[in-house]
Amino acid sequence: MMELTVNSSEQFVIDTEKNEVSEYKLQITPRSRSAVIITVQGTKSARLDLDVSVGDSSDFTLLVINHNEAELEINERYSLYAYSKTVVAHCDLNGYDATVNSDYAFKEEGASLLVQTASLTSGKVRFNQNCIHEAGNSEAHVNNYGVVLAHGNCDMVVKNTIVKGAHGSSTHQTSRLLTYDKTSVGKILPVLYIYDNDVAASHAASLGQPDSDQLYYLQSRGLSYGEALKLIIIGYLLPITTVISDEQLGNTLKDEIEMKVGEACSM
Amino acid sequence: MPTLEIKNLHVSVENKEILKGVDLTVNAGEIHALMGPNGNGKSTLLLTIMGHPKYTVTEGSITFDGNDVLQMSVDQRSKAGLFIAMQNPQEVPGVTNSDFLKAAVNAHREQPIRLFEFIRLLDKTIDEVGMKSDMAHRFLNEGFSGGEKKRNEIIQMKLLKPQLAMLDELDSGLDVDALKIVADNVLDVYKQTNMGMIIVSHYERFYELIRPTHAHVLVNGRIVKSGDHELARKIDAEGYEWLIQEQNLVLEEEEPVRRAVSLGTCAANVRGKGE
Repeated sequence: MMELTVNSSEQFVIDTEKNEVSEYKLQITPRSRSAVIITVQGTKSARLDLDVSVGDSSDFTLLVINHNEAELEINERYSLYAYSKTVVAHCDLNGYDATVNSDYAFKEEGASLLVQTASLTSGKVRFNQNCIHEAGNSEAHVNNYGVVLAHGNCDMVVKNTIVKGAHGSSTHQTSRLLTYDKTSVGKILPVLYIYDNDVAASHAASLGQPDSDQLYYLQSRGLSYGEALKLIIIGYLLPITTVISDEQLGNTLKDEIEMKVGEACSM
Repeated sequence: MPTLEIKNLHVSVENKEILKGVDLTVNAGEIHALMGPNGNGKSTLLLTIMGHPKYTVTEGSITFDGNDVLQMSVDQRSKAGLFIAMQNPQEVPGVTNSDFLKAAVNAHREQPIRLFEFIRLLDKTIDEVGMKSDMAHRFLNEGFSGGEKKRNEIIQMKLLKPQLAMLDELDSGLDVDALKIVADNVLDVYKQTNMGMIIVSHYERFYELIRPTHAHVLVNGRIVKSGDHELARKIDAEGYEWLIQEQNLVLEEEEPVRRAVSLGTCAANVRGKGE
């Protein structure tokens, strides 16, 4: 296991040709501002384990980009301390099988979390996300956006729990899956366990094929069906770029999304 | 300049006939006001011309510049020069206005527009319709007020410069000042292109600004009376009752609207209630 203290920006490239299992323990320094970008690439099945402790009053962003051309399993655990702000983004446009198991524990008061995922898949992708508000005045927003291409399969299981005594906490989840055609399979399971009264909680889920009225509207302006569909799919995936504060990286991700969607829609 | 020619058009939705033999000819430079009580087929006519898949043409023809419109896909109709400003423009989350508008402009060109040329053109057009410059970066119509959506339709019309524009209750949701701005911009495109227009509105104020050359009243799926701007003025002043009596018509009842039901969303907010 690689143990790192993080207080600035770091980038890691994990080559699955060399590492079948990669384990990182990240200690985010209190009151620091930092960002970590992990890119997974290669052609072999692999596993990535992350154990992240976000120190009090810190501002931390983690972006995981999956370029691996084989199955990838990610297991990540976060401990969020007082008044820390954490952004976790997963971008997976590869089309290979992937599983992301995430546990977010709000250990101390005032911690906040934003999770944003974007996935474009023709394989089998599964998100299992658990947010547990153990402390008061904590805040979570979990936003999953996925497009399931032909013969693809995507499950999103999101559980948000506010324990008794975590007064003033709020927890929100949004899961949206766009199914490309009748061979695309999607499942969304939003779960809220609320054990305290003084809280706010919500979930929103949508699953289905592209909206025919939206497609018509775009076509009425001269876009072909394929161009209109491509624009709508890109729109599904682009929100991930808005949580990346690095403008250059955001533009790179946008270009990659447009390229991958272009490839998928031309198949 | 092209002519839109509609002959004996019959249109159904879910096996219910809405249009029952509409004849209408719109030449370049002509502005046709299309009036009628709610639910009598005005929007159906415009959306059918623009190829909305919900509407089935069971009889009749539509040609534009001699070409069979009914054989064209929706995007081909747009490229042929037809444009509809929608009564309820769609919201498309995630798609920015600028990306959408650039794609629409490029769909009408042989060569893609250069980025800087597009930005200049878009900034100028946004300014002309009195919208804030940040609209370019907002998602398409998402969170727009009713008036902003209507102005955005005009931005699209100005960028695409159609040969025949159909405006479906473009004036609804606009205050007096916004109405004037929208009308001025519509007339600006009209002067530049000499396009034909079909305008659906319930309000004489908009017609006073646009000055239609023709007016028609659609009742029970048929055009029952045609005239000029004076007809629009008379209807604004006196309503449809005189016409219904004159023509010995019986208004068909509208079917109740079926509301969509959304599943899968819930929210809890019990903050402040205490244990």
